[in-house]
Amino acid sequence: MIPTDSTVEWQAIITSLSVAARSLAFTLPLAILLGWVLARKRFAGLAILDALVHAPLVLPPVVVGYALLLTLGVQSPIGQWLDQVLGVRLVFTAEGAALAAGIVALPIMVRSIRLSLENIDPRLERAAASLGADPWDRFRSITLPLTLPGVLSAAILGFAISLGEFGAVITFAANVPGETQTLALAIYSALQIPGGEALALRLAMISLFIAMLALLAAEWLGRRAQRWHGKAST
Amino acid sequence: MADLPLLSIDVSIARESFLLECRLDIHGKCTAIFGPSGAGKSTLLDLINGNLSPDRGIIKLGKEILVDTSTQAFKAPYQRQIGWVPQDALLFPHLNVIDNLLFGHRRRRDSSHSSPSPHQVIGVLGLDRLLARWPRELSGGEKQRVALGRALLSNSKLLLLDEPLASLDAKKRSEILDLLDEIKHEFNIPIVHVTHSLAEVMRLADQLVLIDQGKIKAAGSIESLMGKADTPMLSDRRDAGSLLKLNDLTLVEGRPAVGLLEGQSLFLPLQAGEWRLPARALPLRVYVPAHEVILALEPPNGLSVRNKLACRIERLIPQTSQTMLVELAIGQQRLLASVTTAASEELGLRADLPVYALIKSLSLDVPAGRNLLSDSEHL
Repeated sequence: MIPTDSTVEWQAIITSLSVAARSLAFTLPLAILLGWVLARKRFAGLAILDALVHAPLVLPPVVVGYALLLTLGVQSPIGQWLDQVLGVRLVFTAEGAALAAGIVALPIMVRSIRLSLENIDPRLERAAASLGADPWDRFRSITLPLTLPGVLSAAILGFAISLGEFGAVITFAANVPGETQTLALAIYSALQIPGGEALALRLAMISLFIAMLALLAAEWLGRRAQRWHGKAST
Repeated sequence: MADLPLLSIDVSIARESFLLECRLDIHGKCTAIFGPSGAGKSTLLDLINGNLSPDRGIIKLGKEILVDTSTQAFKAPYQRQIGWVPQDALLFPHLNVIDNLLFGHRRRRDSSHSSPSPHQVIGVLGLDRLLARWPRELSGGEKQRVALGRALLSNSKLLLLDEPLASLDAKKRSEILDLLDEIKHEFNIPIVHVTHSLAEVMRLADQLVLIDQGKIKAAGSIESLMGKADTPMLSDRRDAGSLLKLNDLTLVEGRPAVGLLEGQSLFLPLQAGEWRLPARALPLRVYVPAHEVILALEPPNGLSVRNKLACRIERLIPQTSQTMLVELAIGQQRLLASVTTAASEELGLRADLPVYALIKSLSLDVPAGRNLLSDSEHL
């Protein structure tokens, strides 16, 4: 049975935006932290951390979803602990979808922030220290504002990747309409139903529209940040 | 200077190309650390401001321990209250001039020692018209002025200047030197100034530390080190010379004409253009290149040379294979003269011999400053 009203489209749009926003909420701070550690810190396990962060970039997203299922699924010790102690269940939920999409988006976000950080002269932070700024103050008042273009571009890229993520989401969070069925999953479902091509096309057009909107917003924000950065940089 | 903090350093640290071993007490109002590139000057500065930790040793600022490897004590750079002005100013590019200036002022920790107010610093450094500008809109000299102001306003107990003039042209360098001279006298903050320019040393420093290949070669007051014929790194230079301190000046049209040196008159070159006395004119420092000093056994007559100073030979040290450096005593002060070995032998120069030092007033180097004095005749 093919739904004739626009419920499917709206559900998919809302689910996609909600998954992407939740994904961004946890990946952006994590990406800033990891970008900073990889750009500024030197320690024994740095290469391993670097490889782990970048692994989702080279792994098929289905493998990422499967790895999440193995580590956080209800059968796993961590999954059981989350379920029984904290009452948190990630498999087949929107939170799980956001987690899966976020992990796939993370390497690109970390890369963008790290490159931006590596362009900042670390002696600026030393100058700030000589003026009495403690490490957190230096990060907040010097490093972060100077990394802003990189952070903005990471946020938009991360949002866009989370919106379109398919393999990791369907493997870990399944394809539950109204819960985890994002636009990409809804297009896939529509194509499975005989005569669902029209719905798939509508959903694809909506995807294209949202993607264009995100890209235009990225362009606008990027230009503003660049202008601000250009005005400020020596 | 008993109220000024004393920096005591006794450290060693291995670097790639040398081992820095340093035992030093710094207690001047302005101490220059002088040495060639790669001598260990910047490493020493990094140890003082906490960017580096020594392999062994202790550094104290006054009574406060900044680092002590025996007790594992280490104060982080942000807790040290040591202002730092690097060669390239390092202004924060995303903050305008006023926010750069007030960055440290807004974070000052304790106000137990008097520190200059923003109003004072902006006035002395002439920053009024730059406050709303961005760092990228400033010239090199303006950036250095802002960096100096930013460090002065951070409630620092000590100001570290890491070759702040190295990247400036001669005119800008002279402007900043004037300002540093003024800062030295206006604000009660001791300065440690790293440089490889002897001109900067002579202009600003009270105390001098000579460093090469990670070792302190000599340390002491600048007049004593520059007046000695055997100070390493100085006496063997082509531009070796001495600094004389004049304690009384006669002015003609507001410009110094004659100075008093241990009871003898020293005629100064008449300054062209808008000559202005240094912020604190007295004692006025005059640099005398050793090769500009002529020695005579008797007071000569019929010469255009106006300065004929009676002095006594303290000692003679060979400078090169063909020249001798003669250390002359004029009361408590020391004057260096460079003569050829042949001339020295011909005149029979030896220690304790009374001689006359002849110096053309035009060959004296008198620093100019910013503050105009009134046309008073005497200071």
